[in-house]
Amino acid sequence: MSHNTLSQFISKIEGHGKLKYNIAESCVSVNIDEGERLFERLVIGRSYTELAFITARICGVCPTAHAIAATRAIEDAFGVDLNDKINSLRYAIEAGQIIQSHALHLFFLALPDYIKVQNGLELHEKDPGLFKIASELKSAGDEVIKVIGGRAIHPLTPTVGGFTKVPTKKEIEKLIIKIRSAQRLAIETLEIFAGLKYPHLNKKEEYFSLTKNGFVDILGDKLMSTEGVESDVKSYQYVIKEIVKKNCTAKHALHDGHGFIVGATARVNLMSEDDFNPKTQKALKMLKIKLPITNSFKNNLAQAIEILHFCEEIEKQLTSFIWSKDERTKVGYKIKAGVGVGATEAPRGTLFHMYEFDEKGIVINCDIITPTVQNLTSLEDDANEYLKQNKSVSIPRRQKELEMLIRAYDPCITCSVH
Amino acid sequence: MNKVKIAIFDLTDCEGCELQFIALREKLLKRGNDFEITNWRLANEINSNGPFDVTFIEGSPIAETDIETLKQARKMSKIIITLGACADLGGMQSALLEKKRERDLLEVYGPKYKTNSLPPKPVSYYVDVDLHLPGCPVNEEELERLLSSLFIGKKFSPKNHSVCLDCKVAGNPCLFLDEGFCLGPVTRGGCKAPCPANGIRCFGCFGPIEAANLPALKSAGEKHNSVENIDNTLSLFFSKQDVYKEYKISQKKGKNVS
Repeated sequence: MSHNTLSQFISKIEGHGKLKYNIAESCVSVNIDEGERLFERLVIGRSYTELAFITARICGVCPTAHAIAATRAIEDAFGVDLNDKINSLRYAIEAGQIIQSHALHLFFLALPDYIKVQNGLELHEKDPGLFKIASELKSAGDEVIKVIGGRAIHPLTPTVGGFTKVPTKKEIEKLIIKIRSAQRLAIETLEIFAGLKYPHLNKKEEYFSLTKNGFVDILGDKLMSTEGVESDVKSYQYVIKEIVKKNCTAKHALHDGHGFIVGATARVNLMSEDDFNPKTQKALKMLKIKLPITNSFKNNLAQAIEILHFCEEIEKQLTSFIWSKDERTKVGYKIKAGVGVGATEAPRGTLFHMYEFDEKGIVINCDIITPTVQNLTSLEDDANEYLKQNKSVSIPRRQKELEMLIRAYDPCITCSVH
Repeated sequence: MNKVKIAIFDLTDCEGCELQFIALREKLLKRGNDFEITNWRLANEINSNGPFDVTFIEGSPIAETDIETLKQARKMSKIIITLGACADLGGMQSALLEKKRERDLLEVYGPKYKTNSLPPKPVSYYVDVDLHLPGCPVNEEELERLLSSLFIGKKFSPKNHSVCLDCKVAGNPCLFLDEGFCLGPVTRGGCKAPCPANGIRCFGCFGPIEAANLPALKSAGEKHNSVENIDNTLSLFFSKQDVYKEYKISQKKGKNVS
């Protein structure tokens, strides 16, 4: 039996990929159809002051993550120490990015497969109540980024040493009320995704996340894996290696020669029960959700868990922003020649930016590794494993579920080719 | 009345502009009787091959499939509208010099890599474009204004004042005066100046305004900035625009004279 490449792009994922598979031989690959934009070259010769603006444009779904990773890399190179107030606000906007992206993915891209609607519009017609939850949750994520970052897509305020502008106390208090009411919606969302019937897949993977002092932290400084890897972010290139595949514009990352997983499932799997915020802990218990997650279809469930966890986290961080004693929202710095590495947990996983600067702060070298590049190898391995484990399922159903698996990974092909 | 058949195609880009449709969601749903989106890969499971009344093109054509999609879309559509700076201007990825693309690819992908793609261009390089909605990303209210114009059959044209006017209306402090450089004076407005309002100078994402005077901007900016920095910022969104090409030629001539 020959390989079958579907002529249509896989629908409802970020970016362009086509599914190529041979069901008899349990062999699947995703062909990437995205042109090279060459951001790593675009920034060369430019000032550090343009990096957050430029690299945010790598991805319209997680621009905040890129702006923050770039900013943290510059701060690492220049040796800038932030205060708690700035860190709280940065944490809140990054968590807002995760909620915004997860809500978009869960309701408008992933859920339609499970409740047999075609798109968001049909969701609105058939289940207006559900649509309302989706819409309000997405808008809560949008609002966090808009209030802190200046607008919902391609935020403006994150800058080296802090923020160019911060919201007033009143605006923050209003945001806290909004995010608190979103927590109810997040619980309902978690109930929905805990109640879905996911296709069968069981595969042991190695999961990676950023951590700080041993705990998962979206602004962490260490890399940790479920197989015991612990490394400073600065040495990321020794832990994660990118390879170039023939005819593929996206690179693939490997650890020790094998695939691994980053993103919601990885973060959730690296957390213990007590690490979740109180309402999330309670919901996990009530809904009898078992961790760790070893079925990649359930990345959807992991994202739903995170939406609630981060809604609670944003309330905490914004409160500490208001009450922080050090009033400075931007700290001073001196431009220095050298190399800086900055990472953050983007919605889809760990995002690395590395820059080398000359003494004027002009970029002379750059490397960016996106989450989807790190997930691509596992995505294909998982798809092959799915076919092996589900031979009794009808062929059209297997084809459909393969697409659902790819969607569950929430790949951002746009980011993967940058 | 027949519903307006809309298609949204994305070429190579960040997909931020099409998300503005999702940001409009309730407002769009209210107009549900006026239109239907019959092709949108990002949001629809089943997609029609046309014909379409109105087609939005987001992204810049780079991959082979981008160019095929674009040509097919032109054939099947009455009106083609570019959505955002990548489609409109080639995007910031088009700021890299085309003659250095091979070297840039070598630096990023290594010696064994073969590409099937072409240097990024504005959509209008390949097909005729009927309307442009500028911005990186497009402004939500401008998108709404465009859609209403389409549904009631009114003519739509992007604003033709500079970002400076938007800044004055918003009461923002002038970053050209404060920091010595900003692209506001030469950039098309309509964005409501969110960047200067948040302390970031204008990068020109709406593209140059008619009769933009780049040499004058340069001489005003030069007092506090290096020419390289000015050129770098200008190149981000203007690199494929005639006014920028003319400016670069005049720069070269100026150098030769001195």
